[in-house]
Amino acid sequence: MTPDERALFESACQVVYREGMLLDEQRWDEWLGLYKPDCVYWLPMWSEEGVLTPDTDRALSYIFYESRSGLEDRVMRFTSRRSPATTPMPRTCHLYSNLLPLAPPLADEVRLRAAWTTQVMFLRGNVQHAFFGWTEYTLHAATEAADQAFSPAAGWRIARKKIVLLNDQIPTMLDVYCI
Amino acid sequence: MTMLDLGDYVDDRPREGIFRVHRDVYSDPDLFELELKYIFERSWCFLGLDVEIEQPGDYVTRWIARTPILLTRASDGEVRAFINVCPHKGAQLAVAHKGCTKYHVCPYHGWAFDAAGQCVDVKDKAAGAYPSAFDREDHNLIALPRLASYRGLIFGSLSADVPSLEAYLGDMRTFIDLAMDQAPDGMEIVPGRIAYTYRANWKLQMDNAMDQYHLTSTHASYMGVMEKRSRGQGNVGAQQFDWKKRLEQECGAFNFANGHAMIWLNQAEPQKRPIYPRIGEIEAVHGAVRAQWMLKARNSLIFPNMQIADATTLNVRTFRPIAVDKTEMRVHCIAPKGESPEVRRWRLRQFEDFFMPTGFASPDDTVCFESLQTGYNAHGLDYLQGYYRGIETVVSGADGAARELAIEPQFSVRGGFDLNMETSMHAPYRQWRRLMCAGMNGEKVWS
Repeated sequence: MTPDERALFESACQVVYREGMLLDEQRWDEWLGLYKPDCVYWLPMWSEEGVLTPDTDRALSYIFYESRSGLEDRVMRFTSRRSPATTPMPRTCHLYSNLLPLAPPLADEVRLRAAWTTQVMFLRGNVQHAFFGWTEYTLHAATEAADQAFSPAAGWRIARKKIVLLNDQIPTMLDVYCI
Repeated sequence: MTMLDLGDYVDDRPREGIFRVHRDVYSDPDLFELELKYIFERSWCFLGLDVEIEQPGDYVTRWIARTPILLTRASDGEVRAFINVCPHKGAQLAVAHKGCTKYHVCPYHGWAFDAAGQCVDVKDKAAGAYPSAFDREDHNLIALPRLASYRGLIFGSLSADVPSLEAYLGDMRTFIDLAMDQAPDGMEIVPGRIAYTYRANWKLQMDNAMDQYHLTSTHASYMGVMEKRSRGQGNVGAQQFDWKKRLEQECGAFNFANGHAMIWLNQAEPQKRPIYPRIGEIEAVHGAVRAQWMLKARNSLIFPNMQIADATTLNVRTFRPIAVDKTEMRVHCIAPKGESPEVRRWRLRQFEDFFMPTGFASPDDTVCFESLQTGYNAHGLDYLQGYYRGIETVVSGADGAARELAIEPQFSVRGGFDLNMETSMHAPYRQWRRLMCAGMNGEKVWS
């Protein structure tokens, strides 16, 4: 990478770390603010041991949204205090590593990949679980002034996020804050 | 050993209006062992769908409780099912979830079997100095004593002493028809393997699909999201049902012999059904009554390990008991072959919105099962009170709804949504009691 590309990449990486922090601190509105309104959020399923479901039109996904509204619905549900699955709200700790660019970073788009693990403490039942996998991000430069002012995440917004969950025998439940 | 006589765990006194189940039924490890022996290993259990193994050599690995099963299509095109273990030393033979192979080779000592279960190679047999007694042993895979299918759903039994599958299912077959007839060209499985576990007894999932009473409390947050969507906000692309509209609908239930039961609810929003665009074609083949029944919300229990859930988006669920307080769920989303891409997308998004450990509804159910399991350890709790609602509306045999379908249930129930009947748990627990007592007393169940 050129020094300029490296600077772009490193500023984009801050979005990954920042997303983890916002989820861990349950700052839901700021978390939603990291996403573009027309973002793609995709948690594919495995169709067999070595093969992910390739096509959201013909195969099941655990989660597939083509706009931020699906994420907004989830926040509404799990902050409603009327969902037994998220009352009390589980505590999480997101850890990321192996952040690598998937394409030469551009001023308006960075694609990168990160390995992750999320430790979750489910307070009901006092059980803990670690979900893990890797995620591909497409980040776009925020265009609106209001957007840029909103967060210090170097003006990047998540345009697309594909999460590969490796331990997919899910114990009881999984929501967006677990991945 | 357990404290009560087996027959007393289900307190069934219809003339006195009493139906109660003891909490130990869900929490006693000794009873759990007996369930495996006397229920799962002596009943027809659902294994998979015909369309999962269409070509010779195709196989899937499944379970009947603790027994691994290899379900495969042999080179002659016939479906076969075997105990999925090598007769040599007992290793699990096929380990992948699914695949296609001419031969299954044991990973330990290399014995090989064809898709008809024949042992085709005992590795290094000639040099093995085997006695003639070895040759008199059967080296082939152990075939399931009974295997049969109905409308593409394959069932197997570890005991030969079961009635024919058709007799076992009885008029529950009508509700299998209402799932499998939803497409002129047949149904297929949507790719994607859904497997999850919960820390509670298998019967809590069994009960849940027969339980309308929990909707407005367990799923209150979901109903809140639906209310927002009804105003055009949020993920309206899921084209999800507005459950509030269901609260005004008429509902009912049928209980059948052998533990099967179903609940139904009239459809407030038929246009939200992915089959709705082709309902005319379905009507032309199966008639207006059956088409209307396909549009209704229906949940069916095929005792002991299977549900056909079609109250939201059609799917087939199986539960596998792992321990008294641990269950594995498998869910298959099934859909019409040849469905248009737009309708398929709609179906997928609607299904994903509601079901699975990642959906908006299933996790709230599953977490409640775990909460129940915790409660079942409570000192002082004996019989549970969750089987009474609707008892005063029970009609022996068929009611008008059953007559529409020309079926003969053991009893029928009908009322407004707020009846929220719990009576569809009676048939499965009566069968539970019958099988457990017969097993314990060494009696034949099926005569």
